[in-house]
Amino acid sequence: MNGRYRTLFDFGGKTVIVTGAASGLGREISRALADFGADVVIADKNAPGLRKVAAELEPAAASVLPCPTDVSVPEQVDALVSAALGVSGRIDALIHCAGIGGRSPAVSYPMELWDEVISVNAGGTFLCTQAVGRVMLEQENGGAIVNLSSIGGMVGKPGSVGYQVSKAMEIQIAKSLGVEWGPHGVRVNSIAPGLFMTETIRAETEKEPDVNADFMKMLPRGRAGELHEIVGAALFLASDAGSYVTGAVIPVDGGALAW
Amino acid sequence: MAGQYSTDLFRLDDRVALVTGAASGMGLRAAYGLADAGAQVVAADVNSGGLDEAVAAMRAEGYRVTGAVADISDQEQVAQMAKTAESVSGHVDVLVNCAGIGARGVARDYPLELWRKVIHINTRGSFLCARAVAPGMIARRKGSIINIASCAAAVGWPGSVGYQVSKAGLGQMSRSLGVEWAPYNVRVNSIAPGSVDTPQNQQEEAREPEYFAERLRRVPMGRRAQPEEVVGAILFLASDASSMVTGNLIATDGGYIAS
Repeated sequence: MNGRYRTLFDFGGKTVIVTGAASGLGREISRALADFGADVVIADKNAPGLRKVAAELEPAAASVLPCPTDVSVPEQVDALVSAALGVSGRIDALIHCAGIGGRSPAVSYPMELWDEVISVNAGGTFLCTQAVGRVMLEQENGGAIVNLSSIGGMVGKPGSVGYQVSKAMEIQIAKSLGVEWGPHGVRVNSIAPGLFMTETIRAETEKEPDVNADFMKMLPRGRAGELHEIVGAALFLASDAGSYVTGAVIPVDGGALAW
Repeated sequence: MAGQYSTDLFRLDDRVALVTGAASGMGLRAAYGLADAGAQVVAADVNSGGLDEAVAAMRAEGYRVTGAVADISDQEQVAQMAKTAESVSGHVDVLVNCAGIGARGVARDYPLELWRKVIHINTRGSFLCARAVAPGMIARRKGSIINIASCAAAVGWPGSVGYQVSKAGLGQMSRSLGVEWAPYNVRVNSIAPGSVDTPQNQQEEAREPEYFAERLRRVPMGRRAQPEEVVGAILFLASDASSMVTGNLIATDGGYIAS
């Protein structure tokens, strides 16, 4: 059995969908999957951005298929799954990174913002998980679903109640479906990133410089995460390396939760 | 300092407590419990017939109670309910968000309409209620909001993903608002009951006895809670006995989460 662990994180011959792939953590995870030899199906609402990422990934990946998708629209999610099935007839993993922010004080939180952030973040996570789950439940060897939530779904911070509620919902999807689909070999897990310097966070920080200053002080590592630092957890949960892990939440937060 | 503490710590004299879902089950027991602790209770429910009966029964026993018919998923009705509660004596000190619905269904076929409905009522509705009473509480620097969540705010089980997601959202709402409103001495907490012997649960159980028997086997205390067994936690969180407790989740679940 020498060498059996050398292929633990392999994605050769595996079809993986990544949503929110045009920027930030989703793009970074797509880059990693390409490097690991996956057939990568990338989805995002931002079609031009998605084409750019596809062009970037092509030299490394086994194949790249860009699918412009609004994850909060059931028909578009179904179309994404059909397109992914066209690659190899199966879907081995879904890494769902698509999501939006939603900052506002609770007392005046606009209900339109509440509805939007819950529909896109929690609803979008469920739609993608359900649609891909239907495929995985029927195929041999099941599959792995990884949803990117946030430590904002586990602890409270002032100023974004709707966003935080949506992220807690995403975490619960992993727990609920991890248990429900466990017997059928479909694993569902969540990664809870802390503060990562994505374009979104950079823009937020420029608008409200104080927003993340307090938070930064609470980070044992004393800094925000670099995009590449999310990759390990995603590849672990999406590959055979995570074969006995389901319904779990892994914080990748520089120790913020432990503080 | 002998004699500093008595059961007065849990008294709610001169306080007004608004309870949603008060026509039956846990909400009705909460209304009795809060009234026994000395609070003036405003009992709200969408079921006007059941509410009339409950209010009449409480009044016949000498309790001070006001009824308010309200569908918590309707912002106008929630505003009206809060107005009724504030008209009792000019302030609302306690809100118990007990109104909610169940929503069983396997995840792969979970209807999107059911997903939206259960989140709309359980999570969004509770947020609307919290938001309707919060401005007064914030202005007076005093208030306690108690959300009746579920073990699903912490763990998962098969067969009701939408319900569980709605309750996980409610648990997170308590953390998020608890932190955001802490500077104003408005405390927000949630309670995670396990399987409770309510009329709503009895109906569900009659439909799927095996499912619920299996759930019960996983409860360390080996029995369902009686609705009144949630009252202690409610009085603790409603009163000054919990003056430093906020953003928290208290499980009254017979050890379910711990196991």
